[in-house]
Amino acid sequence: MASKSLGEFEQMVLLAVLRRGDDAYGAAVRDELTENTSRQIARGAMYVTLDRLERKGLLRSRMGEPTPERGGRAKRYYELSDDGRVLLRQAGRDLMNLWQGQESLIDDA
Amino acid sequence: MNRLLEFVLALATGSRAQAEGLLGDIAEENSIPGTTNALSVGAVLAALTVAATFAVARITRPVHRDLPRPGSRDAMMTVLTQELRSALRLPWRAPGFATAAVLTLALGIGANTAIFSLVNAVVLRPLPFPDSEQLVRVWPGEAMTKGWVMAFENTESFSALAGVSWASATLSGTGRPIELRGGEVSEQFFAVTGVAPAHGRHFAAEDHAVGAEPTVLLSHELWMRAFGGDTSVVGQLVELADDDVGQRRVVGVMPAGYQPLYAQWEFWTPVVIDPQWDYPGSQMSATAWNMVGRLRDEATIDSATAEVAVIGAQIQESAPDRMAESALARAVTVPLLADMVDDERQPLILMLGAVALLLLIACTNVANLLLARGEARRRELSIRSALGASRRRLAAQLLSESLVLALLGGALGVAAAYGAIHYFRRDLINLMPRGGEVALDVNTLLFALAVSVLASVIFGMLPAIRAQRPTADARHGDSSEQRRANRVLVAVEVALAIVFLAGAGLMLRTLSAFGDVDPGFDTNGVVAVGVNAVGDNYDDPYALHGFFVEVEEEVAAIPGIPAPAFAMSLPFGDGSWGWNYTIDSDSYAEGAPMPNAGFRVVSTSYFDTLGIPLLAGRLLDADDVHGAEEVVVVNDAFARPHFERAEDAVGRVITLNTDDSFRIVGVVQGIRHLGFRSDPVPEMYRSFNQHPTRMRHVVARTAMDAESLGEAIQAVVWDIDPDVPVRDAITMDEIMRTSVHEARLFAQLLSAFAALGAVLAGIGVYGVVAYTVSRSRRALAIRMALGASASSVIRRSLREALAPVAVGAVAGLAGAAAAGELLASLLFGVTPRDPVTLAAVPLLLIALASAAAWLPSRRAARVDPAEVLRQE
Repeated sequence: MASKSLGEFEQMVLLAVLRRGDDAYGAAVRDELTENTSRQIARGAMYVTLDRLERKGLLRSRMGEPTPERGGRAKRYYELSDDGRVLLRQAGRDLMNLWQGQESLIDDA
Repeated sequence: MNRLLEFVLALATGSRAQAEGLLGDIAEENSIPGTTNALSVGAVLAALTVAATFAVARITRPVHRDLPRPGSRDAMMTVLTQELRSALRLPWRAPGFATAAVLTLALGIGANTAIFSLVNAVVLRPLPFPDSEQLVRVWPGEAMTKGWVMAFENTESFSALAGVSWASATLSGTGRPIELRGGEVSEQFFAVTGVAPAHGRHFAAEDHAVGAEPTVLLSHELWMRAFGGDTSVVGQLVELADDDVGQRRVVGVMPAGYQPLYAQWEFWTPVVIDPQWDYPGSQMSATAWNMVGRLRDEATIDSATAEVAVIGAQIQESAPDRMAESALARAVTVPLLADMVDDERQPLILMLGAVALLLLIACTNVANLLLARGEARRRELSIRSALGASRRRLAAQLLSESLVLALLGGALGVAAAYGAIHYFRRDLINLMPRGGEVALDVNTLLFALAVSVLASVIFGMLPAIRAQRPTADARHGDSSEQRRANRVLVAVEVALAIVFLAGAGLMLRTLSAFGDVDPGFDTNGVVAVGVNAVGDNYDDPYALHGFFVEVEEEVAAIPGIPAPAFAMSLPFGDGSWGWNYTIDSDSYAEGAPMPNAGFRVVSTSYFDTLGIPLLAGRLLDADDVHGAEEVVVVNDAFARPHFERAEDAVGRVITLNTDDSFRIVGVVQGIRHLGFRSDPVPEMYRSFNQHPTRMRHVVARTAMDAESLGEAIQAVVWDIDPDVPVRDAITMDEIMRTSVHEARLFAQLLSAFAALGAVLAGIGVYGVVAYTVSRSRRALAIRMALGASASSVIRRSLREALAPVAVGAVAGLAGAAAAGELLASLLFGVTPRDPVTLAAVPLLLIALASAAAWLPSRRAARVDPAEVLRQE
């Protein structure tokens, strides 16, 4: 669908899911975001975003095994769908193109 | 809790799997080492925040309007869900309006929920016993005798029937002696309630036999408090002493919370029935017992009443010469629950009525808000209509919005009710039987839901009906129909406001009257400490007298206690035995009731200490000792029916129906012993020196605080005898407050609701009137353009606005008079149709309505008419 585009936070969430690989469930994704960004990640906002990305068909989810430290509840693992990969790749390329020649802005800080 | 959270999350996210994963994450992040399943407070809050975020995200998500084929089932469902989802966005579209409406509704629904939870806990919920609907009370009861027990052994109506009476005892040997209240019960008692002891056994037939070893069953609470929950106490002898018995063997412990009569009893003892007491009235202390029973499956209340009457007649026939009438012959059988909460029913119904009216006012106010908003939305509705929305569909839209407002208000109201219940729980336990069981249970939540839906219909109906004619053009002002609707609203608001204001006025005057009443003595600084000389040591009157004389001397030696006194019973707190008497052996006509007076035993300093004024003769003094002439002091209520002047009573001789005679030596002012609502009753005071009874209270007027006085007296008493229980000190002001506690709390609650209703209605009246007047600005402008003066225009608009106010005021006055009658039993010091209240309230409202009408019309009259006409 042509109308599909990614917001900044959506991109960050997709990247975090990608980086976590096989271990991408909610709490882990949030850790990934907290560790690698300067943002305070509101739990509710992140879950709503995960939910929205899944509805848009950019993420897939499956339920894992229950574990005792979670009170016997199962983890919900996420992974990128093909659409998700395409869209994220495009967004990344767009950004990198725009950044070309401007890297000094990052390095200065 | 976990499951509830999971449910809430599933509801918010729309997926159970989503909810599970989420809650698991939160549990993992917030887990406390060593715990597995329990969620911390932080985790619960985090989960709720996530749920809220999801809810907001779902509500604000755009609605896709892909309509299925019109007329199909799917289409109807789609319409419904679409309208509801669109209505759910209302609070975000019009936050100010939504906040006002939701808060108003929360007030109304919250008050209804809170009061219903009380009604539910006290009146509606079954008693906590197996098949509790079979439990009954037979009233009035009769003295327990062998003949009685035998007569009821095989009845058709009762599977079990028991007598029960109040008992008190002192427990020592477990630290300081403590006084306990309990029940003396007949053999079938536990069969009636159908509850087994948690430990040990019930009383067996042998326990009720003459000469049996005295036994006792403990309440769970006493067992925990005095014996630390030690099961080995079952089978042991304990020092539980009353007037007849020094020790009892514990046979069992009842389960926690077992209180069949809600009397907060701490022990039960088996009544021992002497076979010689073969007919009612032959027992020495022939007090009537409470009779409780369990009906057989096939028995009804009526069949039980009939059978009791037959048995009563038989008992009476068995001893025709010795008893005039068996109380059982006219006894009735009533369901135990209904009997227990009989006194609470009326105040509760009144409060339900008050909060229902409150909700009605809230609905009227919201209807008014919706109407005003409806004007602003006319354009939106016209467009929808023009685009093909049916009228029904528009009405569905408005009703959906009403429903959403009501449900939001309901949710907030339930939260407020929850808070209120917790805040008042302590008061409620003391206020009424089962008051402590108040909770937001499923019934209450369903009630809140039903009330919310009902409210949405009430306040949403008028705007929805009006929306059926969306094409009416605002430019032509209100149609006559709309003006009529507004006038009805004004009249209803005014009437309701008057009912509430009058109710609040009456209750506030009652509250202030409670503070003004003269109890008959000076309560300031008077403190009482209960001292109960029980046990074998004090069976001898001389020993008893000696003990109290010693206590009096020692207490008088405590610095800061100028004149301690003793009394068998306290003002307000305790009753007194009534005795029939004659004066100077006057003869009374056959069949005429003999006069009756209460009997109190006091020490000589009692009158001085309490500041009870002497009206004639002298007080009891040190010369009134054992062996001297027996004397009494009477109160004015005693003297008044017999003598013109108080002095005339002095020197006369009273003879009781026990043939004891006393000379009246003085007359004192009466005390309102029975509480504020009753005038002083006839009473006699005897001197402790002539009549040593078990005194119960040390009374002193002191500047010390009650607590340190209590400790000082405790130390003195326990120095003399460490086995005498001493209660905590209590001030006379506190005793007085307690005696009107229930009336005061109901008055406070009702006046709070009434004040709330009055404020809401006041806001409503102002709002409706101001709105109606401002709607007619165009008409005013035209009149002014045609040459009418500003003042004549204002006069005219005032006249128009106040006509429905007057109608409402008349209706409201009638309602207020009726409400006053309903409140009559709760009022004090003010009549139900108090002219001051009934005159002041309508005037207040008419003034309010005039201000509401005057301000907008003056504003309209000041503006250039051409300006107004261009604007509209």
